[in-house]
Amino acid sequence: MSLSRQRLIVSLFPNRVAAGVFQSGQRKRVESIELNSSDWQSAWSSALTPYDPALRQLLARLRLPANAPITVLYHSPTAIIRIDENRGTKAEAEAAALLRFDQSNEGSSTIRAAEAMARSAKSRDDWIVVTVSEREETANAIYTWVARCGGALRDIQPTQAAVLEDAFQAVQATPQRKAACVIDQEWSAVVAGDKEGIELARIFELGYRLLTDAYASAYRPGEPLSHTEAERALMSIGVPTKRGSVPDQVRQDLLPRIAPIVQRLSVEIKQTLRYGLSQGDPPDTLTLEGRGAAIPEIASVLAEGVDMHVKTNPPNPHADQPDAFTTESTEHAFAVRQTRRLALRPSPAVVEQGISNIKRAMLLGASAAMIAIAGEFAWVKHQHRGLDPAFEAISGEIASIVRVNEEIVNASGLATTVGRCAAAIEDNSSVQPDIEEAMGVISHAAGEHTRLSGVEFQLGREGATLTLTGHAEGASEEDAAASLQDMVGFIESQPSIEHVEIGAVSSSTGETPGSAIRRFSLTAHLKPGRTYYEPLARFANATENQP
Amino acid sequence: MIDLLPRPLLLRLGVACVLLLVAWATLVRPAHARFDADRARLDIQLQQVRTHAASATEQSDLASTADAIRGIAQRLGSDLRHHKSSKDLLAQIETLAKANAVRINRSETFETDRVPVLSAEGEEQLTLFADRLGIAFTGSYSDASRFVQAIQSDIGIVALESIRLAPVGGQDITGSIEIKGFRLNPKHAGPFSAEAPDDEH
Repeated sequence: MSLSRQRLIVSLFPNRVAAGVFQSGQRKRVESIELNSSDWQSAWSSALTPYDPALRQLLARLRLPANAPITVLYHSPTAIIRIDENRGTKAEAEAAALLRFDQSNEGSSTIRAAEAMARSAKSRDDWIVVTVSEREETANAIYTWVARCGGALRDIQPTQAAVLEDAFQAVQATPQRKAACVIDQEWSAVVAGDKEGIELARIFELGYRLLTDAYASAYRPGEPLSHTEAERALMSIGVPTKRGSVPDQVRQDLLPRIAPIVQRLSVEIKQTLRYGLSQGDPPDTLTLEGRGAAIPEIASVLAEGVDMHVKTNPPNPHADQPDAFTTESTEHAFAVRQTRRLALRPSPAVVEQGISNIKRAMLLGASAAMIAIAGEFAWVKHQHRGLDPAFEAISGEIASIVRVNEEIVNASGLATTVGRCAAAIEDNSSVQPDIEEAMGVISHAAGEHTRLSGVEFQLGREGATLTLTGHAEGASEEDAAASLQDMVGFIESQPSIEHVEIGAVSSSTGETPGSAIRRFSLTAHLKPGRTYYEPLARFANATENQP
Repeated sequence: MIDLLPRPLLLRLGVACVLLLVAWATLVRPAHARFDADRARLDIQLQQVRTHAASATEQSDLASTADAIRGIAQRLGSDLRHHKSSKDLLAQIETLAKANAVRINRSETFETDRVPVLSAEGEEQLTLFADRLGIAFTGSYSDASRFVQAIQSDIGIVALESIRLAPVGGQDITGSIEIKGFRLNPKHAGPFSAEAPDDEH
């Protein structure tokens, strides 16, 4: 059974527990079980455990799923209701009412709610605020009772709050100034005023159950009626003021029981209106509301007592059928009301609701996070795919660059390795002059007037030298010197020669008379020749010297 | 409020957080990283393309340089394989002597040096052999000159260590030279190994 948009209301009274399913202001199903009102006090002492079977049975009859959310309307043994007039905004008036309530109930553990029901007729700046409170243990007893029976308590409301709310609604429904009295089983409420402002509001513990009890004990002498039977008789016969409505004997037994109750009710209403209305006369008409208003002759009896015209709503043809959630009852009004203004929530229900909200928030949060992650992932993928055309456009050029770079890297690696090899050869070799050119120099140096007796290349790590020994001839000393000088000049002029050092020089006479010989030893420093692999050797050395 | 929350709810919350974190860490974060990396790679490649286009001449020069390096490496590899041993080197020198009308009076081989070549870490060690020879010869100056030049240029990588020439009468001269002929160690030929012969010293 789906409970979406449905309300499950459980009403608990000393004589009856009932459960009803309501949807869109319509009663769908109602089940009730009669209780023994004498067990009422002991049931509360036992945290309502004696009523477990009854509630389980009701929920089973209604075929409700486990943990269905339930609102409980109950006759409270401990609830307190208070009516204040507070100035300020609606929220300020409610906060002030709660503060005042807390100050007056310091030390007691209660849950409470305040509702500014209407503007005050005395001052437009004031609000009529109703504060309802319940003791924690009472609220927790209801919570655990519902939980034990497989339901999930959403909120609770004492009947007095519902009765008072009904009375406010009755007055505010019409623009005319009026007084309304809601008579329910255990409580009655009187409210006077109009749509614009409320002049008085009062609730007192006096309901038609006392009349029902009177019928139960006196209607059938010697054999008391059940509560249901008694209520049916009450709603059928009402106040037996006229002869003939019931047997005389019964009337004689009933009237002494009923008259004081009706009289007490009249006095409560009359005094409430007399002392509660500070502005002028009371309204001409008192309207009776609630299931108590359906009692036959109640209006005429009360009219005599309160000295007012008392009227009731058109009679319900089924009013004599005692049933839970009947149309006129406070239960019904409570069940079909769209907003529940004076609802109380036991601490465990608040915690449970909080946990439920957290679970829902977690689910929502997780879903949102998952969606966000999926969205971010899809967005990144989409962005990523957007890069593909750009990569595609330059792929040819990049391949070419990669080839060039690879060639450079390979060539650089090859140059380094081969260069190291070349450097090793150079490091392990003497300086190599250009032998071809050096041999050419020697060949030309040994000319007509110059003879070489020794040629020696000295090739070392530091450099290469060519040592020539021989002699120069001349017709005279000066000619021989000039020939030597010519040879040295020639050698020095050669590009492969860095410079020439002339060593030992001696002069002697030649074989022919008058001739001269000049003996010499000279050293030519040779420029190093260049090998084809030298650039790589330099490259490798430079690479190794890099930091 | 946290104290009021049942432990399974907190556990589920923790598990959900962990799952979300894992999902983010395994899906979104790597996707972001890949995207960022690819975008950075694209920026670099675009920069490379622009640079490449602006330096076409340099690219051409680099290509020629790379060709030149390969050419030198090839030639050096070939030269270092010109002889396979000291005897082989001596035989080649004797051939040169004959070709240049030079008479070898005496030849001497010395112990071959091993020349290690520094290499980068992880690369195969390259080693060279340096065969050392001493040769005394007789011939005309021009023949001896061509002979010495041929030794330096025609039989691979040969370094002249010393040269002595002296006239012996007439046109002939006597000469003595000491040389080092470099060759590859075939087992440690480094970048030349692909072309290296199997022969060993």
